[in-house]
Amino acid sequence: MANRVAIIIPVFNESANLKIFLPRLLAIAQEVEADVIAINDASTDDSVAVLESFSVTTLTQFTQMGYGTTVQTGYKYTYRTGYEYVIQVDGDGQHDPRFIPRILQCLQNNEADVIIGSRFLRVTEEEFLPFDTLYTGTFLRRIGIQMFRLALRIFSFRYITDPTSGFIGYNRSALRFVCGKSFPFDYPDADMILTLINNHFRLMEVPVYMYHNRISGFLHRGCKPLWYIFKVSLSLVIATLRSKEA
Amino acid sequence: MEIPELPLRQQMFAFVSGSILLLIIVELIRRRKMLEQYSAIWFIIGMSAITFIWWWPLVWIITAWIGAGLTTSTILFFGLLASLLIILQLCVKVSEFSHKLKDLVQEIAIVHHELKQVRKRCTDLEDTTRTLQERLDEVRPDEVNAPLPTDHGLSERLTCHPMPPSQE
Repeated sequence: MANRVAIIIPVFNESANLKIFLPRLLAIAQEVEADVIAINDASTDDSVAVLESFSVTTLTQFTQMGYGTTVQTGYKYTYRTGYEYVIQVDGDGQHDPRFIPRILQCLQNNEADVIIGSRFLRVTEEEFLPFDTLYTGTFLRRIGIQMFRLALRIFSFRYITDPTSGFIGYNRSALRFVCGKSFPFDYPDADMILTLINNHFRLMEVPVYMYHNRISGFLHRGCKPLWYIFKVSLSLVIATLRSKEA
Repeated sequence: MEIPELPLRQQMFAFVSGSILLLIIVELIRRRKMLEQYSAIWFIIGMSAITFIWWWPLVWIITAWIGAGLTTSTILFFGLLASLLIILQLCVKVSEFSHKLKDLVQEIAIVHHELKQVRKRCTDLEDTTRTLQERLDEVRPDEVNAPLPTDHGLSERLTCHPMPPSQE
Protein backbone atom coordinates (compact mmCIF):
# COMPACT_ATOMS: atom_id res chain seq x y z
CA MET A 1 0.00 0.00 0.00
CA ALA A 2 1.64 3.19 -1.16
CA ASN A 3 -1.21 5.62 -0.51
CA ARG A 4 -3.89 6.22 2.09
CA VAL A 5 -6.65 6.52 -0.50
CA ALA A 6 -8.14 3.72 -2.56
CA ILE A 7 -10.50 3.88 -5.50
CA ILE A 8 -12.40 0.64 -5.93
CA ILE A 9 -14.12 -0.46 -9.13
CA PRO A 10 -16.50 -3.42 -9.27
CA VAL A 11 -16.11 -5.06 -12.67
CA PHE A 12 -18.27 -7.55 -14.52
CA ASN A 13 -17.71 -7.93 -18.28
CA GLU A 14 -16.65 -4.33 -18.74
CA SER A 15 -13.64 -4.70 -21.03
CA ALA A 16 -15.00 -2.31 -23.68
CA ASN A 17 -15.92 0.35 -21.09
CA LEU A 18 -12.69 -0.08 -19.14
CA LYS A 19 -10.53 0.75 -22.15
CA ILE A 20 -12.14 4.20 -22.27
CA PHE A 21 -12.67 4.72 -18.56
CA LEU A 22 -9.38 3.53 -17.04
CA PRO A 23 -7.03 6.15 -18.58
CA ARG A 24 -9.28 8.91 -17.22
CA LEU A 25 -9.53 7.26 -13.81
CA LEU A 26 -5.80 6.55 -13.52
CA ALA A 27 -4.95 10.16 -14.32
CA ILE A 28 -7.18 11.34 -11.49
CA ALA A 29 -5.86 8.62 -9.16
CA GLN A 30 -2.33 9.83 -9.76
CA GLU A 31 -3.42 13.38 -9.08
CA VAL A 32 -4.96 12.51 -5.70
CA GLU A 33 -2.31 9.87 -4.89
CA ALA A 34 -4.79 7.01 -4.73
CA ASP A 35 -4.42 3.31 -5.46
CA VAL A 36 -6.91 1.87 -7.95
CA ILE A 37 -8.27 -1.55 -6.98
CA ALA A 38 -10.60 -3.48 -9.27
CA ILE A 39 -12.77 -6.36 -8.10
CA ASN A 40 -13.62 -8.70 -10.90
CA ASP A 41 -16.91 -10.53 -10.40
CA ALA A 42 -15.93 -13.62 -12.43
CA SER A 43 -16.03 -11.80 -15.77
CA THR A 44 -16.16 -14.00 -18.84
CA ASP A 45 -14.67 -11.42 -21.22
CA ASP A 46 -11.12 -10.03 -21.24
CA SER A 47 -11.74 -7.48 -18.46
CA VAL A 48 -8.88 -8.91 -16.38
CA ALA A 49 -6.46 -8.60 -19.31
CA VAL A 50 -7.50 -4.97 -19.80
CA LEU A 51 -7.02 -4.25 -16.08
CA GLU A 52 -3.61 -5.94 -16.08
CA SER A 53 -2.55 -3.99 -19.18
CA PHE A 54 -3.15 -0.82 -17.14
CA SER A 55 -1.32 -2.36 -14.12
CA VAL A 56 -4.40 -2.08 -11.93
CA THR A 57 -4.49 -4.19 -8.75
CA THR A 58 -7.18 -6.77 -9.44
CA LEU A 59 -9.00 -9.11 -7.06
CA THR A 60 -10.97 -11.87 -8.75
CA GLN A 61 -14.00 -13.67 -7.36
CA PHE A 62 -14.09 -17.23 -8.67
CA THR A 63 -17.85 -17.26 -9.06
CA GLN A 64 -20.31 -14.50 -9.90
CA MET A 65 -21.78 -13.09 -6.70
CA GLY A 66 -23.44 -9.84 -7.74
CA TYR A 67 -22.78 -6.16 -7.26
CA GLY A 68 -23.13 -5.92 -3.46
CA THR A 69 -20.79 -8.78 -2.69
CA THR A 70 -18.27 -7.51 -5.25
CA VAL A 71 -18.01 -4.03 -3.80
CA GLN A 72 -17.88 -5.47 -0.28
CA THR A 73 -14.87 -7.57 -1.29
CA GLY A 74 -13.21 -4.27 -2.17
CA TYR A 75 -14.23 -2.74 1.17
CA LYS A 76 -12.88 -5.71 3.10
CA TYR A 77 -9.58 -5.68 1.22
CA THR A 78 -9.06 -1.94 1.60
CA TYR A 79 -10.03 -2.01 5.27
CA ARG A 80 -7.59 -4.82 6.04
CA THR A 81 -4.84 -3.18 4.01
CA GLY A 82 -5.26 -0.04 6.09
CA TYR A 83 -6.62 2.58 3.69
CA GLU A 84 -8.08 5.68 5.32
CA TYR A 85 -10.47 6.72 2.56
CA VAL A 86 -12.18 4.62 -0.06
CA ILE A 87 -14.08 5.89 -3.08
CA GLN A 88 -16.23 3.54 -5.09
CA VAL A 89 -16.89 4.11 -8.79
CA ASP A 90 -18.63 1.81 -11.25
CA GLY A 91 -16.49 0.11 -13.86
CA ASP A 92 -18.90 0.92 -16.69
CA GLY A 93 -17.72 4.51 -16.94
CA GLN A 94 -21.02 6.03 -15.82
CA HIS A 95 -19.33 8.05 -13.11
CA ASP A 96 -17.12 10.99 -13.98
CA PRO A 97 -13.79 10.45 -12.18
CA ARG A 98 -13.08 14.20 -12.18
CA PHE A 99 -15.35 14.43 -9.12
CA ILE A 100 -13.19 12.08 -7.07
CA PRO A 101 -10.98 14.90 -5.67
CA ARG A 102 -14.10 16.73 -4.49
CA ILE A 103 -15.45 13.65 -2.69
CA LEU A 104 -12.03 12.98 -1.20
CA GLN A 105 -11.67 16.54 -0.02
CA CYS A 106 -15.00 16.34 1.83
CA LEU A 107 -13.85 13.12 3.52
CA GLN A 108 -10.44 14.54 4.42
CA ASN A 109 -12.06 17.69 5.84
CA ASN A 110 -14.21 15.37 7.99
CA GLU A 111 -17.38 16.96 6.63
CA ALA A 112 -19.11 13.55 6.71
CA ASP A 113 -18.39 9.83 7.08
CA VAL A 114 -20.07 8.93 3.81
CA ILE A 115 -20.11 11.14 0.72
CA ILE A 116 -22.66 10.29 -1.96
CA GLY A 117 -22.20 11.58 -5.49
CA SER A 118 -25.58 12.86 -6.65
CA ARG A 119 -26.50 13.24 -10.30
CA PHE A 120 -29.48 15.40 -9.32
CA LEU A 121 -27.56 18.16 -7.57
CA ARG A 122 -26.42 20.83 -9.92
CA VAL A 123 -22.73 21.32 -10.56
CA THR A 124 -22.56 25.04 -9.83
CA GLU A 125 -18.94 25.81 -10.63
CA GLU A 126 -18.44 25.28 -14.34
CA GLU A 127 -14.94 23.91 -13.90
CA PHE A 128 -15.29 21.37 -16.62
CA LEU A 129 -17.75 20.34 -19.27
CA PRO A 130 -19.31 16.89 -19.22
CA PHE A 131 -17.70 14.22 -21.39
CA ASP A 132 -21.05 13.06 -22.70
CA THR A 133 -24.82 13.48 -22.33
CA LEU A 134 -25.75 13.48 -18.68
CA TYR A 135 -27.82 10.61 -17.34
CA THR A 136 -30.64 10.83 -14.84
CA GLY A 137 -31.94 7.28 -15.18
CA THR A 138 -34.60 5.55 -17.22
CA PHE A 139 -38.27 6.36 -16.63
CA LEU A 140 -38.77 3.36 -14.35
CA ARG A 141 -35.57 4.08 -12.47
CA ARG A 142 -36.64 7.68 -11.89
CA ILE A 143 -39.93 6.41 -10.43
CA GLY A 144 -37.93 4.08 -8.19
CA ILE A 145 -35.65 6.95 -7.12
CA GLN A 146 -38.67 9.11 -6.24
CA MET A 147 -40.10 6.25 -4.18
CA PHE A 148 -36.84 5.69 -2.33
CA ARG A 149 -36.43 9.41 -1.67
CA LEU A 150 -39.90 9.46 -0.15
CA ALA A 151 -39.28 6.29 1.84
CA LEU A 152 -35.99 7.65 3.19
CA ARG A 153 -37.72 10.86 4.15
CA ILE A 154 -40.41 8.94 6.02
CA PHE A 155 -38.06 6.52 7.76
CA SER A 156 -35.09 8.78 8.45
CA PHE A 157 -36.35 12.38 8.00
CA ARG A 158 -33.48 12.95 5.59
CA TYR A 159 -33.72 14.15 2.01
CA ILE A 160 -31.27 12.24 -0.16
CA THR A 161 -31.55 13.29 -3.79
CA ASP A 162 -29.80 10.25 -5.28
CA PRO A 163 -30.41 7.19 -3.10
CA THR A 164 -29.37 4.78 -5.87
CA SER A 165 -25.96 6.32 -6.54
CA GLY A 166 -22.99 3.98 -6.70
CA PHE A 167 -20.50 6.86 -6.62
CA ILE A 168 -19.70 6.86 -2.90
CA GLY A 169 -16.80 7.71 -0.63
CA TYR A 170 -16.25 6.31 2.87
CA ASN A 171 -13.93 7.20 5.70
CA ARG A 172 -12.40 4.41 7.75
CA SER A 173 -15.14 4.16 10.38
CA ALA A 174 -17.87 3.91 7.72
CA LEU A 175 -15.68 1.48 5.79
CA ARG A 176 -15.49 -0.78 8.82
CA PHE A 177 -19.27 -0.72 9.08
CA VAL A 178 -19.91 -1.61 5.43
CA CYS A 179 -17.60 -4.61 5.80
CA GLY A 180 -20.16 -6.11 8.20
CA LYS A 181 -23.17 -8.34 7.76
CA SER A 182 -25.60 -5.47 7.26
CA PHE A 183 -24.28 -4.83 3.75
CA PRO A 184 -26.72 -6.21 1.13
CA PHE A 185 -25.81 -9.04 -1.22
CA ASP A 186 -27.16 -7.58 -4.44
CA TYR A 187 -27.94 -3.86 -4.68
CA PRO A 188 -26.83 -1.67 -1.80
CA ASP A 189 -28.92 1.43 -2.36
CA ALA A 190 -31.50 3.26 -0.25
CA ASP A 191 -31.60 0.44 2.30
CA MET A 192 -27.88 0.82 2.97
CA ILE A 193 -28.24 4.58 3.25
CA LEU A 194 -30.99 4.09 5.83
CA THR A 195 -28.88 1.57 7.75
CA LEU A 196 -25.99 4.05 7.80
CA ILE A 197 -28.26 6.84 9.04
CA ASN A 198 -29.75 4.56 11.71
CA ASN A 199 -26.22 3.83 12.88
CA HIS A 200 -25.47 7.55 13.25
CA PHE A 201 -23.08 7.94 10.35
CA ARG A 202 -22.93 11.39 8.84
CA LEU A 203 -24.00 11.47 5.20
CA MET A 204 -23.50 14.21 2.68
CA GLU A 205 -24.21 14.58 -1.02
CA VAL A 206 -22.04 16.31 -3.56
CA PRO A 207 -22.97 17.01 -7.18
CA VAL A 208 -21.40 14.76 -9.79
CA TYR A 209 -21.80 13.97 -13.47
CA MET A 210 -23.16 10.61 -14.53
CA TYR A 211 -23.40 9.39 -18.11
CA HIS A 212 -25.37 6.93 -20.16
CA ASN A 213 -23.81 3.54 -20.53
CA ARG A 214 -23.74 2.95 -24.27
CA ILE A 215 -21.81 -0.30 -24.25
CA SER A 216 -23.55 -3.38 -22.94
CA GLY A 217 -22.11 -5.53 -20.20
CA PHE A 218 -22.50 -3.30 -17.19
CA LEU A 219 -23.15 -4.62 -13.73
CA HIS A 220 -26.85 -3.82 -13.46
CA ARG A 221 -27.57 -5.72 -16.65
CA GLY A 222 -30.46 -8.13 -16.38
CA CYS A 223 -31.77 -6.46 -13.24
CA LYS A 224 -35.52 -6.67 -13.29
CA PRO A 225 -36.67 -3.19 -12.26
CA LEU A 226 -39.84 -4.32 -10.49
CA TRP A 227 -37.96 -6.92 -8.46
CA TYR A 228 -35.37 -4.28 -7.66
CA ILE A 229 -37.99 -1.82 -6.40
CA PHE A 230 -39.67 -4.55 -4.33
CA LYS A 231 -36.37 -5.75 -2.88
CA VAL A 232 -35.15 -2.28 -1.87
CA SER A 233 -38.58 -1.36 -0.44
CA LEU A 234 -38.61 -4.51 1.68
CA SER A 235 -35.01 -3.88 2.76
CA LEU A 236 -35.98 -0.33 3.80
CA VAL A 237 -38.69 -1.67 6.10
CA ILE A 238 -36.35 -4.33 7.50
CA ALA A 239 -33.57 -1.76 7.98
CA THR A 240 -36.01 0.38 10.00
CA LEU A 241 -37.06 -2.61 12.11
CA ARG A 242 -33.44 -3.53 12.76
CA SER A 243 -32.77 0.06 13.82
CA LYS A 244 -29.15 -0.30 14.93
CA GLU A 245 -26.62 -2.87 13.85
CA ALA A 246 -24.09 -4.32 16.21
CA MET B 1 -68.73 -38.30 21.32
CA GLU B 2 -68.24 -41.86 20.14
CA ILE B 3 -64.89 -42.37 18.42
CA PRO B 4 -64.87 -45.16 15.83
CA GLU B 5 -61.80 -47.37 15.73
CA LEU B 6 -59.27 -47.05 12.92
CA PRO B 7 -59.67 -49.97 10.49
CA LEU B 8 -56.88 -52.55 10.74
CA ARG B 9 -55.85 -52.08 7.10
CA GLN B 10 -55.36 -48.34 7.68
CA GLN B 11 -53.43 -49.04 10.87
CA MET B 12 -51.17 -51.42 8.96
CA PHE B 13 -50.68 -48.93 6.13
CA ALA B 14 -49.79 -46.08 8.51
CA PHE B 15 -47.37 -48.29 10.44
CA VAL B 16 -45.64 -49.63 7.30
CA SER B 17 -45.33 -46.23 5.58
CA GLY B 18 -44.04 -44.58 8.79
CA SER B 19 -41.52 -47.38 9.31
CA ILE B 20 -40.28 -47.17 5.71
CA LEU B 21 -39.81 -43.41 6.12
CA LEU B 22 -37.82 -43.92 9.33
CA LEU B 23 -35.68 -46.60 7.69
CA ILE B 24 -34.95 -44.34 4.72
CA ILE B 25 -33.90 -41.52 7.08
CA VAL B 26 -31.61 -43.82 9.08
CA GLU B 27 -30.08 -45.17 5.88
CA LEU B 28 -29.50 -41.66 4.51
CA ILE B 29 -27.74 -40.68 7.75
CA ARG B 30 -25.71 -43.90 7.70
CA ARG B 31 -24.55 -43.19 4.14
CA ARG B 32 -23.77 -39.61 5.15
CA LYS B 33 -26.24 -38.28 2.57
CA MET B 34 -28.15 -36.46 5.28
CA LEU B 35 -26.71 -34.76 8.34
CA GLU B 36 -28.20 -35.61 11.74
CA GLN B 37 -28.98 -31.94 12.31
CA TYR B 38 -31.45 -31.87 9.38
CA SER B 39 -33.09 -35.20 10.20
CA ALA B 40 -35.02 -34.09 13.30
CA ILE B 41 -38.14 -32.88 11.51
CA TRP B 42 -38.21 -36.01 9.30
CA PHE B 43 -37.98 -38.25 12.37
CA ILE B 44 -40.91 -36.38 13.91
CA ILE B 45 -42.99 -36.96 10.76
CA GLY B 46 -42.10 -40.66 10.58
CA MET B 47 -42.76 -41.21 14.27
CA SER B 48 -46.06 -39.32 14.04
CA ALA B 49 -47.20 -41.60 11.18
CA ILE B 50 -46.56 -44.66 13.33
CA THR B 51 -47.80 -43.41 16.67
CA PHE B 52 -50.96 -41.76 15.44
CA ILE B 53 -52.44 -45.30 15.28
CA TRP B 54 -52.46 -45.24 19.09
CA TRP B 55 -53.32 -41.56 19.17
CA TRP B 56 -56.34 -42.01 16.98
CA PRO B 57 -58.75 -40.54 19.58
CA LEU B 58 -56.44 -37.49 19.76
CA VAL B 59 -56.90 -36.94 16.02
CA TRP B 60 -60.65 -36.89 16.60
CA ILE B 61 -60.30 -34.44 19.45
CA ILE B 62 -58.10 -32.13 17.36
CA THR B 63 -60.54 -32.39 14.43
CA ALA B 64 -63.38 -31.32 16.66
CA TRP B 65 -61.26 -28.61 18.27
CA ILE B 66 -60.15 -26.95 15.00
CA GLY B 67 -63.60 -27.39 13.51
CA ALA B 68 -62.59 -29.63 10.62
CA GLY B 69 -65.29 -31.81 9.07
CA LEU B 70 -63.21 -34.96 8.67
CA THR B 71 -60.20 -36.51 10.38
CA THR B 72 -58.55 -36.87 6.98
CA SER B 73 -58.68 -33.08 6.60
CA THR B 74 -56.86 -32.72 9.94
CA ILE B 75 -54.17 -35.19 8.90
CA LEU B 76 -53.80 -33.50 5.50
CA PHE B 77 -53.61 -30.06 7.13
CA PHE B 78 -50.88 -31.09 9.56
CA GLY B 79 -49.03 -32.93 6.80
CA LEU B 80 -49.05 -29.76 4.72
CA LEU B 81 -47.94 -27.70 7.73
CA ALA B 82 -45.03 -30.08 8.31
CA SER B 83 -44.04 -29.79 4.61
CA LEU B 84 -44.12 -25.98 4.84
CA LEU B 85 -41.97 -26.11 7.98
CA ILE B 86 -39.44 -28.26 6.14
CA ILE B 87 -39.35 -25.78 3.22
CA LEU B 88 -38.94 -22.89 5.66
CA GLN B 89 -36.10 -24.68 7.43
CA LEU B 90 -34.42 -25.28 4.07
CA CYS B 91 -34.83 -21.59 3.12
CA VAL B 92 -33.17 -20.57 6.39
CA LYS B 93 -30.34 -23.00 5.71
CA VAL B 94 -29.92 -21.79 2.12
CA SER B 95 -29.71 -18.18 3.37
CA GLU B 96 -27.13 -19.22 5.96
CA PHE B 97 -25.09 -20.97 3.30
CA SER B 98 -25.39 -17.96 0.98
CA HIS B 99 -23.81 -15.82 3.71
CA LYS B 100 -21.06 -18.39 4.18
CA LEU B 101 -20.51 -18.68 0.42
CA LYS B 102 -20.25 -14.89 0.14
CA ASP B 103 -17.65 -14.75 2.93
CA LEU B 104 -15.72 -17.62 1.34
CA VAL B 105 -15.70 -16.10 -2.14
CA GLN B 106 -14.53 -12.77 -0.70
CA GLU B 107 -11.83 -14.39 1.41
CA ILE B 108 -10.58 -16.46 -1.52
CA ALA B 109 -10.43 -13.36 -3.75
CA ILE B 110 -8.39 -11.48 -1.12
CA VAL B 111 -6.12 -14.41 -0.23
CA HIS B 112 -5.58 -15.23 -3.90
CA HIS B 113 -4.47 -11.66 -4.53
CA GLU B 114 -2.14 -11.74 -1.53
CA LEU B 115 -0.71 -15.05 -2.71
CA LYS B 116 0.01 -13.53 -6.13
CA GLN B 117 1.81 -10.64 -4.41
CA VAL B 118 3.89 -13.04 -2.29
CA ARG B 119 4.77 -15.13 -5.36
CA LYS B 120 5.84 -12.01 -7.21
CA ARG B 121 8.05 -10.95 -4.30
CA CYS B 122 9.55 -14.44 -4.15
CA THR B 123 10.36 -14.30 -7.87
CA ASP B 124 11.96 -10.86 -7.43
CA LEU B 125 13.98 -12.17 -4.49
CA GLU B 126 15.12 -15.21 -6.47
CA ASP B 127 16.21 -12.95 -9.34
CA THR B 128 18.20 -10.76 -6.94
CA THR B 129 19.85 -13.80 -5.34
CA ARG B 130 20.75 -15.21 -8.76
CA THR B 131 22.29 -11.91 -9.85
CA LEU B 132 24.32 -11.68 -6.63
CA GLN B 133 25.50 -15.29 -7.03
CA GLU B 134 26.59 -14.61 -10.61
CA ARG B 135 28.54 -11.54 -9.51
CA LEU B 136 30.15 -13.54 -6.70
CA ASP B 137 31.14 -16.27 -9.13
CA GLU B 138 32.82 -13.70 -11.35
CA VAL B 139 35.22 -12.72 -8.55
CA ARG B 140 38.58 -14.62 -8.87
CA PRO B 141 39.78 -16.74 -5.89
CA ASP B 142 43.01 -14.72 -5.51
CA GLU B 143 40.85 -11.58 -5.26
CA VAL B 144 38.92 -13.17 -2.44
CA ASN B 145 42.10 -14.02 -0.44
CA ALA B 146 43.80 -10.70 -1.16
CA PRO B 147 43.82 -8.14 1.69
CA LEU B 148 41.12 -5.56 1.52
CA PRO B 149 42.39 -2.44 -0.23
CA THR B 150 41.19 -0.18 2.56
CA ASP B 151 41.99 -2.18 5.68
CA HIS B 152 44.14 0.66 7.05
CA GLY B 153 46.80 -1.72 8.42
CA LEU B 154 44.22 -3.94 10.07
CA SER B 155 45.83 -7.15 8.75
CA GLU B 156 49.16 -6.06 10.21
CA ARG B 157 47.66 -5.33 13.61
CA LEU B 158 45.79 -8.64 13.67
CA THR B 159 48.95 -10.67 12.97
CA CYS B 160 49.98 -12.80 15.98
CA HIS B 161 53.22 -11.69 17.70
CA PRO B 162 55.08 -13.73 20.35
CA MET B 163 54.40 -12.62 23.90
CA PRO B 164 57.20 -10.58 25.50
CA PRO B 165 59.11 -12.45 28.26
CA SER B 166 57.77 -12.02 31.74
CA GLN B 167 59.50 -9.54 34.09
CA GLU B 168 59.33 -11.89 37.05
